[in-house]
Amino acid sequence: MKSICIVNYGLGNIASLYNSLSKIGYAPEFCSDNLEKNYDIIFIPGIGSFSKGSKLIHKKKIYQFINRHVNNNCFVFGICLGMQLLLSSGTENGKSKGLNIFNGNVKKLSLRENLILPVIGWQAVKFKKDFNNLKKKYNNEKFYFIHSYAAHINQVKNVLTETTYDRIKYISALQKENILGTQFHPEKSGEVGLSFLKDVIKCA
Amino acid sequence: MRYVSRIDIKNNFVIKGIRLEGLRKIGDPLKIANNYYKKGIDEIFFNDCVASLYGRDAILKTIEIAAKNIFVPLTVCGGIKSLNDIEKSLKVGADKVAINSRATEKPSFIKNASKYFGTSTIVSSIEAKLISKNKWNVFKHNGREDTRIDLFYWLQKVQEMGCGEIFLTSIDSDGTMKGFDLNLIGQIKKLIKIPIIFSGGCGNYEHINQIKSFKNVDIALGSSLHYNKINISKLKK
Repeated sequence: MKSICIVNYGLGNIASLYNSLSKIGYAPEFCSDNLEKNYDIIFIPGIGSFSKGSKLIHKKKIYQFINRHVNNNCFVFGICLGMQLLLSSGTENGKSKGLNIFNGNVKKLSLRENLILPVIGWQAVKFKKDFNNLKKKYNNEKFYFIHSYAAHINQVKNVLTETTYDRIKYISALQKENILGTQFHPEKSGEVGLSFLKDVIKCA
Repeated sequence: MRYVSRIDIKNNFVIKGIRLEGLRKIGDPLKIANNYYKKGIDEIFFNDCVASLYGRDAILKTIEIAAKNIFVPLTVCGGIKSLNDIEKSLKVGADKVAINSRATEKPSFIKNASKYFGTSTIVSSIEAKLISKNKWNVFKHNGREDTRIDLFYWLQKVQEMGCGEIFLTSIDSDGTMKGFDLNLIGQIKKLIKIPIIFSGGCGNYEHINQIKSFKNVDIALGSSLHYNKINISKLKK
């Protein structure tokens, strides 16, 4: 069985992610329990502001833990704020640094006056390319989103899915090599979400 | 449109009243929540009806077990008085917490909570009751007490304080299954810049269609699910 670690750097509801991974048959651990251990897959979760996340994720031991896994080519999966933190920088509550795995930044979804934010609810994802056969099964499926900021990246080839909310199109998943990030919460997207997690882990 | 199952709980039983009064026992919270999840509900809103008066630890047990089997967002409401209460709720598996009574006493609590846990975690729960023509007041303790706060003022205040979402109950319509208060939603819609879940009055599919004319209004379903007036799987088609 693949070993899985949830990077509990201090933000976000890690209970839901833990419960969903347990439900599909894995035994996730938390990195705070053993920062020396190496895993097949690490999850970077997170709910909250980019600036706060940036501060916490750059704490030396957490940063080293993530970096070591990225360099060892293990599978890295960022969810919501955890995905946003994979980018170079963010502008929520002032400019701050991300992990710079994807070249780009995280900005407010739109400055349009009458736009209802945060986005809360179920939105469809449109695949822009395939990754491990996910496209066939999940193209146009709906997942649960809750966010006000979104990723803007420079390299189009790293865009896995896009989503449209009130006529605004934005990136809802990113991928390059062994690194995947979703703006949506598969762990909160019902049975479709669990199945998505299962398929991602299986191919990781 | 998001469909949220509203589950009112008192002493470990799902209950449902009419206008938040005359509570009838419906059944076991976990069984009911699981059933709605299996049928495809979008979210579940657990409301502990007596927590703000008598303390709230019982509902945390329910959430903890529910979160192990239900993989849609869970909101917990009732008796949230401190950042520590919020922390405890999230730890057992709640995704969002809704605050009503404490916020009416101390609005800055919403601000502090949103700052600390992120706006998207904090829901402002509001119980509104019509007191004269086109004038609604905000109530607390599950509709027991009039705070004398004007609803229109309050809707703006809680947004200023930074909550991520509003869960608005029309006390006059709650449990009646006679339709949503369209006058109320019509009057407040332009004041709202964040997502809103409107609760109270749903009894059939036509009532849901009526709400669809308002853009960006999500709804809560209580009695209509408990009494099988609405079938979730049908809604989601």
